[in-house]
Amino acid sequence: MKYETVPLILFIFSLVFLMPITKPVNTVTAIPDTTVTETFRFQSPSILLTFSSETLVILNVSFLDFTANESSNVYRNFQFVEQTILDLPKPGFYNITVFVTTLGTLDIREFGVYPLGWALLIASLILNAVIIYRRIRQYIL
Amino acid sequence: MKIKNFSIIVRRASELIIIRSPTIFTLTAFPSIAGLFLFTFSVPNAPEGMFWFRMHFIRQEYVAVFANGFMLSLILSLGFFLTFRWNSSIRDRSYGYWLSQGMSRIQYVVYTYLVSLALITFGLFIGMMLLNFPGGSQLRPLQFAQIFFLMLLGSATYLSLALFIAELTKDPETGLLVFVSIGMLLISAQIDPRSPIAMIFDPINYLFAPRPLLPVFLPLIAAIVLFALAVVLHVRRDIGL
Repeated sequence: MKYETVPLILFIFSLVFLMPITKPVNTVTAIPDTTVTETFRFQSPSILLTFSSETLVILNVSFLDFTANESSNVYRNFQFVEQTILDLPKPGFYNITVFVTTLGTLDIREFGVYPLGWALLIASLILNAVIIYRRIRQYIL
Repeated sequence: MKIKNFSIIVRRASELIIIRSPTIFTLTAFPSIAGLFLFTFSVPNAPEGMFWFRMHFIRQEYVAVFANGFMLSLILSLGFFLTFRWNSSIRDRSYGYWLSQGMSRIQYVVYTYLVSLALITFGLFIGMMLLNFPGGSQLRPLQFAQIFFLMLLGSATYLSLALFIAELTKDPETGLLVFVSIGMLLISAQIDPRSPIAMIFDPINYLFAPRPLLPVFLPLIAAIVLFALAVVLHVRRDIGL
């Protein structure tokens, strides 16, 4: 077995960082004057929130820490109209609580890749490019 | 990945017959990538109950989805790249050529088994690491070790079963069919998790169990026994040179 296969396997694995880009949209059905809480797992550093009608939406976003059994508030009483982008501190499970005054649906789409993910992807890509270049030169000369 | 005690002829034969480039890539990358793919796109339903009970249940469901995808794709890839290739290399006389050069059968079987297991272990470890960082499934070190070893013992059992069925059927197509159907049934059927069959062949039930003593020892014994039977059958088999 050649050792050159290991960087190629690592490159295949680092493509997993690009997977959440193609994730489908999650929706929360908001009921007027009632708080609705749902749990999501986010793999991306930012989420795009879109509400179906033009009204004020009040959000609570909290991160669930399973190792200590506690939840910490990331956004408390965050208010927006129609559309906004939220940055998340780390990948994991989040509770999203929605409070609105009219009936509608909140679409949650996650996008982006964490800097560490980009770094690992580009590092393995460069490593493979070097190996392939060396092998091509070996065959030509 | 060189093991010193095995002779060069065994290593060459194994690399030319079984441990080739497609097998290496498939056994390492495919099970973990398939599991992570299902893990990324799955949306488990929360049960009724207390807040933290519900949250922990959801996380366990996510990890179980990864384990299920891993085991199913491992069975598919083992069925073709081990069971099928094993018998087809004997049928087309490429294995008999190496035997005529004075290769030991037992050394060949043991070497192929160990290298396949090492490849699966490497892929599983990277997959679990990716489950933790981009996946965000917050496993503690002890939980990580428990899930890792249970999945490893499960894959070792299926590796032994693949070799055993290959030796039992002695035919590439029949071996592939029998192994894949038995593996799919054992993984996807709803067997009582306290029965020994589920403990041996379905480690997914015990990923978060508090003290999984029997689910660790039974697959270990089963893997060793199935592998020993496969070696005995392989040594007693008639192979055309």
